[in-house]
Amino acid sequence: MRKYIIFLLPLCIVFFIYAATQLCTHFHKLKVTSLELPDGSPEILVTLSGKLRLNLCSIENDPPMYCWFLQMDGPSFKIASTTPVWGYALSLDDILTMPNWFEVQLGRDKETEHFCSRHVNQQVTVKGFLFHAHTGHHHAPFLMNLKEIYQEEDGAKVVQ
Amino acid sequence: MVFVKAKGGPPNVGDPEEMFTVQYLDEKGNMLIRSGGKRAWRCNNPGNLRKSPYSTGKDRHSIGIAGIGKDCYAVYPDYQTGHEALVVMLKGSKYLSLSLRAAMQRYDRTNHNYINEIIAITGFDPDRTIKSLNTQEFEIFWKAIETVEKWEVGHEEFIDKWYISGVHKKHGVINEYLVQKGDSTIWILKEDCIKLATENRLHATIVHRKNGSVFLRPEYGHHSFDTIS
Repeated sequence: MRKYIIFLLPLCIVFFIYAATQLCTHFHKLKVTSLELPDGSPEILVTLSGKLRLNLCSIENDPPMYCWFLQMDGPSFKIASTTPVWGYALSLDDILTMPNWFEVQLGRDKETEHFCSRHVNQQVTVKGFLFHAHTGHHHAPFLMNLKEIYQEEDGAKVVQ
Repeated sequence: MVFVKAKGGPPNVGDPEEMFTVQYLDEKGNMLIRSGGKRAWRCNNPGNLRKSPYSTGKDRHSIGIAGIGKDCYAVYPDYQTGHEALVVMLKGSKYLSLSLRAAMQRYDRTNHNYINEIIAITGFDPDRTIKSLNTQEFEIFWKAIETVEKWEVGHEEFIDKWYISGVHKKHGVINEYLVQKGDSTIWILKEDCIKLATENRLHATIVHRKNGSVFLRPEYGHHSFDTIS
């Protein structure tokens, strides 16, 4: 009996270490790559809610520029951080290390500018396609190609 | 000089907070600090690519990251490597099928005149796709992006890492180290040497004894210091 234990114990230890390593690798891969949409897959339309903010986002000595951001609420962040996106995706770790991990940068165009300036610091809902920050002109971990922006209370809406 | 590692440093006195410096280290531990200019030059990153799994991935050969707060950038060992990171991204499946207008809207969300600047330089139709550009046109296109991203050279400071070649002992205890600074040598007091080693300016390992005393010993794999009388 003792002979069998001596023989089986190292085998069990090796198996345990192997299984643990495989499991860790699997979870690491899942964490790092799961948010990148495979090539050719259609982008996923998401709806997010939160507070609309206007923040300064100039770089170094360049002239000051302002950008519209959506500060997401909890459920919206959950959607944003689990939706596979077009392009070069960040890992959840990368997202959470950014101080403004809860923000979505919205585009600036004439159609939405008027709506945004009337609803600054108010609760709004946006619909669009998300992608992740990958250049120096991206000032939040999430960015959105906006399709629709609206506020339920006053019924104001902009569709692109 | 081949750099193997890089990290961000604090801005120089008087510079804005976001004007971080970049510290490059070569294999021997010598350091080059880049300050001023534009971040594209400071990071050897002409496309101003942010820190991301793409820009810092193994295939892109980045040697570190630098930046402040939410603005963190990949740092490359030289311009060519940084340039390749930009070109591979533009030629990759994510950007290739986009029109120049759509691609630039993805590239820069802040400045909606970005595409106009690119068109003013290249003269291309903004509705053409990146895929439709031939080799010469693609070169004009990436050069235009690098121009808009601004590659402005700033100030470089080289700090070499010195070697200890010998020691002076007094009553059996080291009190001075002979430090080799390039071609010249100089005797430096033990306390000052420990300070230099703490600042990573000396090839030596700091040893803290249980009794509280501190001394230096050669780095792993190096010869022991010679006692010079």
